[in-house]
Amino acid sequence: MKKIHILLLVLVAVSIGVIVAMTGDYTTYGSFALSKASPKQTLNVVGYLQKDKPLKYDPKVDPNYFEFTMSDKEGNVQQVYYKGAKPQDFERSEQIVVKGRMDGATFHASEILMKCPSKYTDDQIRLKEKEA
Amino acid sequence: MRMNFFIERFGANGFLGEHLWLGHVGHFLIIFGFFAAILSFFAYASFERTKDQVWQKIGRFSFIVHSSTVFGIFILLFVMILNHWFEYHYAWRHSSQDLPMKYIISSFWEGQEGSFLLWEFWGAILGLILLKTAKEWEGGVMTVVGLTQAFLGSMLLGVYVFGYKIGSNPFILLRNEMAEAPIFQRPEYLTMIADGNGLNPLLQNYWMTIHPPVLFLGFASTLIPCAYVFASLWRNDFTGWVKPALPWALFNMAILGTGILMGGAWAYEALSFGGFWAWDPVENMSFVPWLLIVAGLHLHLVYRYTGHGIFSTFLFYILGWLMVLYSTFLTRSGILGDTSVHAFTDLGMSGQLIIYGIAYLVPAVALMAFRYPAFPKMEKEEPFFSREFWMFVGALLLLLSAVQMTFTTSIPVWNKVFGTKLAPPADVVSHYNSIQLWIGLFVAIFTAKIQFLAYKSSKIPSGIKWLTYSAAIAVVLAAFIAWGCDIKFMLPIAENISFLSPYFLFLFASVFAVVANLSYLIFIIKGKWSLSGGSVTHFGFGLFLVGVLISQHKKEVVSINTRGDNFGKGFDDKELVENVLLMKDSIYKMSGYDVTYTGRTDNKHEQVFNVNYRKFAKDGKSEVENFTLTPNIVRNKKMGDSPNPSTKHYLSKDVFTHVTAASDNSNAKDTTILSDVAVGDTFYLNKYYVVFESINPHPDVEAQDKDKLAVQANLKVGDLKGNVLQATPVFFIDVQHDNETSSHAFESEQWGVSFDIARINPETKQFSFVVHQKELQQEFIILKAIVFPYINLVWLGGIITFLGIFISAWRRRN
Repeated sequence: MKKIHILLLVLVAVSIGVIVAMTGDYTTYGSFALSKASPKQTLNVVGYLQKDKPLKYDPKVDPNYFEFTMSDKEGNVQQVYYKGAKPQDFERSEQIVVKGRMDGATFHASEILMKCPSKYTDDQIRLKEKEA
Repeated sequence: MRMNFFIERFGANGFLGEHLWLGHVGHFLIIFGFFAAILSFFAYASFERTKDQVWQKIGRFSFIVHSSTVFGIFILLFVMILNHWFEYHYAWRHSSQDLPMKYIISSFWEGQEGSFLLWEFWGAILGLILLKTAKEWEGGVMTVVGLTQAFLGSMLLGVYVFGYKIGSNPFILLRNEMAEAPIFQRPEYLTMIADGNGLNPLLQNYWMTIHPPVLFLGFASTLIPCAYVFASLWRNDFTGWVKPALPWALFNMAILGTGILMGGAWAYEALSFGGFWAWDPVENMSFVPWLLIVAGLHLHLVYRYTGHGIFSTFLFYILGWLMVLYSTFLTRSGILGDTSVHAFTDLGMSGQLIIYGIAYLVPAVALMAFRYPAFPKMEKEEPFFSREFWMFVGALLLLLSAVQMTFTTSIPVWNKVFGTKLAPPADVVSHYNSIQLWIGLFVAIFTAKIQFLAYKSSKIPSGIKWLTYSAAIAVVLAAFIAWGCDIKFMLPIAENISFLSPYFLFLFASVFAVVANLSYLIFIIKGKWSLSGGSVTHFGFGLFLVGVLISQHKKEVVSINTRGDNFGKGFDDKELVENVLLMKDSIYKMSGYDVTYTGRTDNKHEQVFNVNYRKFAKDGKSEVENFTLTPNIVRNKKMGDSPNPSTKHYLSKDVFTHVTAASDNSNAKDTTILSDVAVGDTFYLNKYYVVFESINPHPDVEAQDKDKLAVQANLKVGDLKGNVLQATPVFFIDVQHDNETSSHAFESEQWGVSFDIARINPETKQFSFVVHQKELQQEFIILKAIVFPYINLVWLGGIITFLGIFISAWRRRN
């Protein structure tokens, strides 16, 4: 067996190991109900902004605190907060994906991805709370 | 039935002002060009099989015809968009009348159809070049190119076969696309369409004009090395393809790399992602083919000089092209919808894209398996200190990098296939960095040493001493840079145990690549340009990596909010917040800068904010930096607001600023009513004094007010600084219509004040004024500011890398 083949085998083994290990980083999609059941787990919740509920964002008090109410696809209604500025045109979003976990009775979103269908377009704006 | 057909086709129901000829010609060319490409594919395949010159002639002729139709479609689509012919859905959907020329060009490739056309356009041009230059490989290579052009052309067909829609025709009419809208009941509907939908404001940037053409040229040229591989496998000739394919692979590597880097520059400069690379699925999937091509190219060289590695060379070139197709599938099928910010929306063509992938995958696997026994095998093993051995290792590392990126990016695909509910990692950046940093580190070291090693020889070449010197210099230089840029040497890996920081190791490896290749250039090849391609490329790549590490690792968010929240002792990094509120005209201290929001300008479609930065020397007196940045927010009623950052470029760093929100002052008004004021009176407002100077009984008025009785009040408004404004509101009495009164207010945007006459007492000649003052004290912006140190090394390194590749390609052009 050639050195290069041994190396190849080692690398294949390493890659498989790495990929399996890295899947531990993956999060999953879920509902607010699931998030309440396992509050330590980071979840991605897909849902809709409750447009009749108030959006709380007062930059003069704190420009990095934004709170809103959304419902997930199962209909669970949940208060969500995000440590960052209110995304541009948040009110217009059709669908939102929030990534985060429960913090007491409120869901702490560390990332928001929103879909804004501008009637005939389908644009998305992703917002990040904080980059590592 | 027949009548309906004609109405549908030729507007016999009398829609006015439509330019139907363009769509008919365009759609005809699409279909005709598609069949011409298929004919060229068959003819070239027959030529390759039979070597009958007649087939070659047919192949050439049909490919030239095909190319002409592609250029024709290209021109027609431009004519349609340039002339704002909104009867066509594509023009209406992607452009509008107020777009400047550069963005009209951009709107051409905003949609899927236009971008496929752009790809097909480059494919046609590359095909024509091959047709002229490929000589004995023309048959095999052009077979693959012809097939690819047919596939690309079919994406524009827009015809239904057994109820399945094949392709999307860019010449479809708006009234057919949205047939149910009532406006299309009227023959003059075109006059009622005020304007097109316009280009998404996020895409209104000059990068959108130049980045897609370069990127698609990159995609189109990825096919060529792969086409040579297919030709070689088919012909069972494993040597003839090596030389002619090499410059194509180099060209492909340079162009695709440039296209990706341009995308990074765009993201950095114009979008508010906070950097040039975000590990977004779309970015990753354009990068993966490039990594595979780079690996393929190095193996190609190994094969050329040593005879080793034919199988892996083939494998990497084929994988490169397959990953271009896979990336096309991911970005255009809508499957990335929940995970990416810049994927296209679904046009219902994902089935087609999968079929195309299979159309290359199956023959590739079959040919490789069938020909494997015939591949040239080398008895002798690669010596450990030979160039080829380390090139193999490097290629495997690049493959590992590509595998990790592809695996995580494909999460939505795994969910579709296995019915799982996986989502991207909580922290995407560190997920990738934790692997890619180490791969990059080793790749950098290989980049440094590879040129010093010789092919087919385990003997250490004499030039190796320069490599040792370079390593020593690199250690010192890296330590110096780390000290200067405050990069930690050691990081704790467990309690009480520290080890060399991977960031420092990465810095050393990249500096090593820079120094080693520089010394190779100077001392080994002694500045001979014709031989310098490899070292220039590697030198640039090292510089690029140094820039990536410093600018990303030491990127500093200067707008960290320390007001409002009292962070105290339990300070959690994750909870640092990056937006800061700036009240107008107040000075805020941020990482050594005095930052002031000095005001804004309201233009028609945008608000421009002026943010002043000043930095003082340590003594606190002499000013060392003073500049004003002008980030803006584009207001677009249809597509929403989009912020555009503004950046101050220094040689050694960039100061990047973007406004995430701003106060809306349009409604905050303070109203004062001044009753019964006579000429000569003076009165005081919050910030101004006002003198009622005189009455003008015969003011200049507009035509519609000529018949009315008009009276103008002349007011002198002054502020404490001595500025003076003449305010001239006018009052009208319409004597012909029951003495109906009206008024024309005087407004000054700059002063934030307006004067109107509410009433005139005809007996006392006293006036009553209504004064609106804008509440200017409340004006503020929410700002995010980031400093990227040495980001210019990224761009400079990238440019040098691609220049080096072009030097190599030029040397091998024949």
